[in-house]
Amino acid sequence: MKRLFKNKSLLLVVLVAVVCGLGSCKKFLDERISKNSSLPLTTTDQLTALMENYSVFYSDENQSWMGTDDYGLNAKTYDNKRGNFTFLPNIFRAFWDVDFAPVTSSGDALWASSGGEWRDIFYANAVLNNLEKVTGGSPEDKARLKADAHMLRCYAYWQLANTYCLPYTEANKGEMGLPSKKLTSFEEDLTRQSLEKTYNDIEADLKEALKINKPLVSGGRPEHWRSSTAAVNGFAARYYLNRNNYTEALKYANLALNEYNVLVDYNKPAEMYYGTPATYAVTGAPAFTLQLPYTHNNQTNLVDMIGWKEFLYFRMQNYGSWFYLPSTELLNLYDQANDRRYEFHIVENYSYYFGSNTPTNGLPSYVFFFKDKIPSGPTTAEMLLIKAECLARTGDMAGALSAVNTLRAKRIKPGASVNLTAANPAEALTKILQERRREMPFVQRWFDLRRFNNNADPADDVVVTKQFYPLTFAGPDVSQPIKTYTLEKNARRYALPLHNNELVAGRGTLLQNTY
Amino acid sequence: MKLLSTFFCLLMLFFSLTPALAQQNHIINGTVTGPNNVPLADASVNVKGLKQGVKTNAAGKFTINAPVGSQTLIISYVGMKTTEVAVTAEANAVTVSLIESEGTLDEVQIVSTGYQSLPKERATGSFGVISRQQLDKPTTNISSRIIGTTSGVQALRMDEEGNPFFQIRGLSTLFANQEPLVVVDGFPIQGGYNTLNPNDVESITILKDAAASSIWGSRAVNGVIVITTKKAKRGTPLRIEFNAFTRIGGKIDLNYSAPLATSAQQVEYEKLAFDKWGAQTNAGNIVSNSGWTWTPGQNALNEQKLGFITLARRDFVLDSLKGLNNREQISDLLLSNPVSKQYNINLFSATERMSNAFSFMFEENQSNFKETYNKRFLANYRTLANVTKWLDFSLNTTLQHNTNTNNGSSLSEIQSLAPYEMLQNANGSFTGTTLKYYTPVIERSVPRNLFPYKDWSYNPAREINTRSQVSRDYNARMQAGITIKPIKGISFESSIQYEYFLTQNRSLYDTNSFTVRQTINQNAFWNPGLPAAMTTAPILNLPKGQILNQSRTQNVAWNFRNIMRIDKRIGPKGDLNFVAGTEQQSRVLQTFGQPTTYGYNDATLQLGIFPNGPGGTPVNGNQNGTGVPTNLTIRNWQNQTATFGYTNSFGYTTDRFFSAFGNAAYTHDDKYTLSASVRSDGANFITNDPKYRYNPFWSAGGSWQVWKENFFKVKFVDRLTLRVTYGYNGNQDRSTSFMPLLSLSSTPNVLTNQYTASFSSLGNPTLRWEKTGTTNIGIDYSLFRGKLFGNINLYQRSGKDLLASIAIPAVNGSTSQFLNNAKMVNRGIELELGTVMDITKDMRWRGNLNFSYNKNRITDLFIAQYNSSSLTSRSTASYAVDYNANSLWMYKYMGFNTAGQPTVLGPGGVNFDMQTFIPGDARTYLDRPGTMVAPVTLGFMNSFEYKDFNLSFIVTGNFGHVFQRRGFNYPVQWSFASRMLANKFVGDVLNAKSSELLTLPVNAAEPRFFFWDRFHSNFSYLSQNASWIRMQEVNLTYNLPKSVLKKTGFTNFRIYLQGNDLFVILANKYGEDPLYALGTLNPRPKTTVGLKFDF
Repeated sequence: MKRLFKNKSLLLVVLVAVVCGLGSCKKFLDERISKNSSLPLTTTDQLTALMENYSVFYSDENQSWMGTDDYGLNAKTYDNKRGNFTFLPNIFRAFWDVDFAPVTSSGDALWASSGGEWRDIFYANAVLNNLEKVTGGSPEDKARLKADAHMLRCYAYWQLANTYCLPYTEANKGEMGLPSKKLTSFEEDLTRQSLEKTYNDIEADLKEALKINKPLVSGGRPEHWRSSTAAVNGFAARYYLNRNNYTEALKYANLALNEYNVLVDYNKPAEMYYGTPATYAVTGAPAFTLQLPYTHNNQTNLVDMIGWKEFLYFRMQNYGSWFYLPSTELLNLYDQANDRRYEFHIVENYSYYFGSNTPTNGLPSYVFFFKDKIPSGPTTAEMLLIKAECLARTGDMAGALSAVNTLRAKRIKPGASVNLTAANPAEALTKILQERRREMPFVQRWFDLRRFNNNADPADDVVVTKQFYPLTFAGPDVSQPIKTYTLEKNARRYALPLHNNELVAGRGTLLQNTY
Repeated sequence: MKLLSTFFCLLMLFFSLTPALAQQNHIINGTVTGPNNVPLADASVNVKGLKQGVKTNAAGKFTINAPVGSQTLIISYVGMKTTEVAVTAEANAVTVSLIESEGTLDEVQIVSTGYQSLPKERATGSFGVISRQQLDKPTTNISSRIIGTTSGVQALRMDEEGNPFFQIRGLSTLFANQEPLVVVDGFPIQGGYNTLNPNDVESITILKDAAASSIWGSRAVNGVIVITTKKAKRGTPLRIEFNAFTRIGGKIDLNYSAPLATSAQQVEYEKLAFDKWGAQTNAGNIVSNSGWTWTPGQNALNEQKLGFITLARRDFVLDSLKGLNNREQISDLLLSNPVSKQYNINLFSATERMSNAFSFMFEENQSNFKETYNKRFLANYRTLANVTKWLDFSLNTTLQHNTNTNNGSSLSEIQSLAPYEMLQNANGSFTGTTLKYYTPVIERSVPRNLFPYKDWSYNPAREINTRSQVSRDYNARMQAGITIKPIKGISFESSIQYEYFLTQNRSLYDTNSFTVRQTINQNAFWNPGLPAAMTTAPILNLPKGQILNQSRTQNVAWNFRNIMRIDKRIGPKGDLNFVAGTEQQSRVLQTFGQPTTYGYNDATLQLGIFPNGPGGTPVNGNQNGTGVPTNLTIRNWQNQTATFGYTNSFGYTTDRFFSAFGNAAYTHDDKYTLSASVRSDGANFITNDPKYRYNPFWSAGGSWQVWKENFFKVKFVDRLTLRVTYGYNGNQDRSTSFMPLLSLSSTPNVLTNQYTASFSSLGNPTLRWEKTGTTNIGIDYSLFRGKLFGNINLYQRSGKDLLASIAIPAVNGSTSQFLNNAKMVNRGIELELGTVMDITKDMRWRGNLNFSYNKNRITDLFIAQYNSSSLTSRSTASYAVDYNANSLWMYKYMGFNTAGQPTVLGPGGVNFDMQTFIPGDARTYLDRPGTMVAPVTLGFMNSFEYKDFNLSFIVTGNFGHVFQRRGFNYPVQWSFASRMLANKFVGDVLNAKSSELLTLPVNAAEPRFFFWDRFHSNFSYLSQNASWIRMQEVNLTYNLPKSVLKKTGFTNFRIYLQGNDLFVILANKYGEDPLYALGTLNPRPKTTVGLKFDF
């Protein structure tokens, strides 16, 4: 034995063993941590699974709508029950504040929440960055993933640009746009690019997305939670309308409608009906039962949302405070006797839900899916409205009215009031824009205001005014007299401020909008 | 392990070639033996007054040269009392028999790092050693023996049984694992202390600084607790130890753990707050309100409002509720005295070449709640065989079976019972509570006779006998090793630990259980909106019968280690102790979940099917406006969509490590020791570049036995050692990677039929191991002939690359990400004082006082905005840079403003009302009364031996910290499972001045009353001095005297009486124990009676 183990050779043997051990253990340590979590991106199936995760993408946390004239918050409704409007960021947004909004205790959901647009962009970048590296999958699968990811990124950038940047016009080209984020790495430059560069990015993504070769309907059902030809065409129609390019918008709206034109018929009880009512106790009166559309029934189960037949691309505007209070102006736009949208979506005395349970405190709300969500992705209804508007703006009055009346037939009680008529294209346009507001309140209005004020037609311009208390850091100062807030046509406040958290976290790389 | 290393030390003897010289010297030969006359090898033999000595050989023999004349020899041996023997000038042969020491600080101590056992003298690091006396006391969990014994080891939290969660030398990590590593017989174990038989534990060493623990590298940052188990000593004939005890504790103190208002106060509050202050009102609607589990008092008020009962009836009900009190019934029907019974037998037997130790323990524990109890069986067998002169084999096996029955009620359920809500009627029948439904509407509107189960009532006392919720553990652990000693002083060890842990959970609900009745009834389709509903029987969607839930967890771990040791004398004065090796570890955790079995019959093993399928969702949404399901969707008793899980679930995670390590200690002249250790750990991180998987951790240290120097002539100092160490430990977190990581859904999405994936981490470009550098300066001393001994340690621990949730721009996809970017510093001082003193001839006092001070500060952490809601959350979200990680942040209450709104201080000195969250940097306006973790901790152990009696006690103390005491809870009338239960401070609030204390709303309309709870529990007026002194334990033991033992054949026989958690002295005047907040379970005083004997 002793001879076998001479001191020095022994040490050597051990050292060699240790060193070899280190070398051969690479494989030992390559074992995956888990079979179903903490996985690196290696296969096409994983990328597909990422893009299938609509629960991450479907919610649009856009809150710019509070600044529109659709929103009914004013001194009067506030005083009705102040406890219903305590979330300060919402009040600041409603009155286009840029001083206190950036320093509220809560961040900005569209920009910074886990369901925010930059998270969608991260998913899209993860797919695009890894598409060439992953194994498995056919070229068709990869082509679809590529278009899908470009669509996801394009849609997110468009939302961000239309919320935090000024409207894109020749004059605004050099204004601040968005950081150009193309990688999942945290070390990419985050400097805000020019608005022109941002729109070039969006158009480049749109161009890639338009290469998609996947129809919306497959296996008998519309797969609108991922991209399809109808989804991309639908979004392209929205994009070009927003750029005031009516020819292109019309082209894509028609492409989308040619592929898919299903509408929900509000006149058919099987398609639109009341769901579970809610009963609230009312002070000094019998208990009150709210009639709510069936779409209100499910808060977390997305069955009814996924089942909404009009979607080309599944997106929902989400509002955590659950109270889309319509303005009187918006309410007055509806034919309250005949418009089924008023019947189902405008829920009178909705504020009883919040404990405003004295009869004089009843305020209505616009209720679509549960209390918080309104469809915001491109839909067949939106395509008809785009088609109608583009035709009206390009002089085809008959075509325009025909398109809008196709929609109205599914929304208005049968009878004389279904069909809109107009004496001239300008009147037709006005009526079509009113229809657009009735059909898509709260979700498209902010984007519409921005384009109306920047297109060639001054007739559709809107200056929004509101009556409210002066604002302070701590919220409305109700001890002061009510004042008038005005959002001028070309106000720089059309670009919402970034939250201060973001500027601090950016450590100097991200700059605030100027006002 | 310890035996093994002892054996190597024996081998060392062959190296001790002390030349026998010097003509004019007197040669003394001798033999040193231990108990049972076993020769002791490697015992130190010194001539008093001379600094050098010899060691005994394997046969316990020694030869020493002493100057001519009478001499005194000092013989010392690890674990034995140091003994002095006078040798006459003529004598040349002497036999010395040593007796075992009890491991107190005055004796030579052995410290174990898990890899090595070495005399404390030769260690440079900071070790804490728990004495044998302390370990011998009865316990069901060995960790409880550590409390109060060692400086720097703080029991941060304890469960109601008194089982601690330790923190060693302050917080080491912000977000990663905070638990000290537990090592048993050289291997880190799964399953923790509960898998150990406390009667098997021989010693516990706590590794506190880098030199002590860096051999454990990446897992050592929180400190290491090294446990060694008992072995049979060589040459022991069969020895049997038996121990049995019963421990009984008091029932839960409901006034403390469920601190509710009295019945009268509760009724008065309900009347006062009913339908006020933004209350959610109850319309008594079958769909909207049936799940509102209001109290009977609230129900009476509401029924009267809705017109279903008269005012007189309401007042009659309320008045009668005022006169009821359910405390006694709760105590009788739901609570139990916690009782533990433990029986343990140890068998030891050893020959010269083989030693065996066997133990078997059975334990029964009744919890605080009736029908919740467990049984534990634990068997251990350990053997060590010297197969040949150069080959040893060791085996250590543990088998464990636990049955944990958890049918009882819970504290939260008891807390949710209104004080007047009785469990039994006067005739002894069970009542129906309102804990599950708004019962009036169920009774009024549901045709209960038509439902599968007519009885809709719920009673906790009835429920505990209708279910069988049992988890069973089947645990096995095996450690095996061979040691080859090819040449003297060098050995190779190859060892493996294999662990297999299986836990099976099974919950069976009887058909008369509420769980079954509720599940079946509520999932039967019935349309409450249709008039016909009242006469048509609901359609069953689930079969009647028992409900069974099953799941299991399997944990398989192995650890393979190869070590080389060198124990060698170098030259005449040097001792080298060297260890190096590699280690591979793997742990696979698998979980299996089974779908719920409905319609089960445990007697016939038959089970039901889903009569209408499992539900799920139609592809194209609801197509029918009549509310009647005509498609795949199935509906429940409220006409809402129902689905039933029918899939299995699986989890599979793997932890792997590869480590290489080495440690060397060189002692020169028994005075100077230098030590160094290095370890590199690799884990199965996900990374493109394998080099990032490794990180070297190292330490270096030195010690100097000053007292052995010739120039050191301070009379009252017996021993004095200086130690200095520096090094790094680590911590690991594998949830991040440089690149994004994703998680896959286990089943396809129910709506799209597609599998989905999401990101579990967006990537961590700074990924590395957490590192903590520790400097330790220590002094060990013994003064006045052992009257006073102990140690002093000063340390600084600087953590860097700590993983923390760091603010990043949301443009990256998230507002925060776990990055290795934070830094934290802990500084502290530890002091231990011990004494052994003979007070009278028959009375000996052993005392040990330990004191520690720790100061913690986060020195680097990037957070974009410090929100008050985060800082006051008392969680990881309340970390703030430049402050103690355990800081308590609180709102400053500013009284009511002119609008009648309560206010708190906000930024810029402006008062904010409590209607919304406060903007701005919360660090600028919140109060920070102090830290929640005690900076100063104290442990004081005493034992008095008087003849055959031994009285000992442990007192612990925590000082210098603050806590938030419980105040009034301001209950709100709210919906669903929310009951308006006032706590016992309601009287204080009703009578208070609103300038001093938040009162109830002063405005009739207070719509945001519900929002007050974001603030009121964090008002700074609730902060209190959290200091306490606790009588942890008192023990009285009686040992049968030797004279009696001789006749009976027992070697030892003792009976004991022990009290635990006897009382606590609090610095706050509210009687709230900071360690167990009011409204949680606090340990009740426990008494243990037991006996222990061996023969």
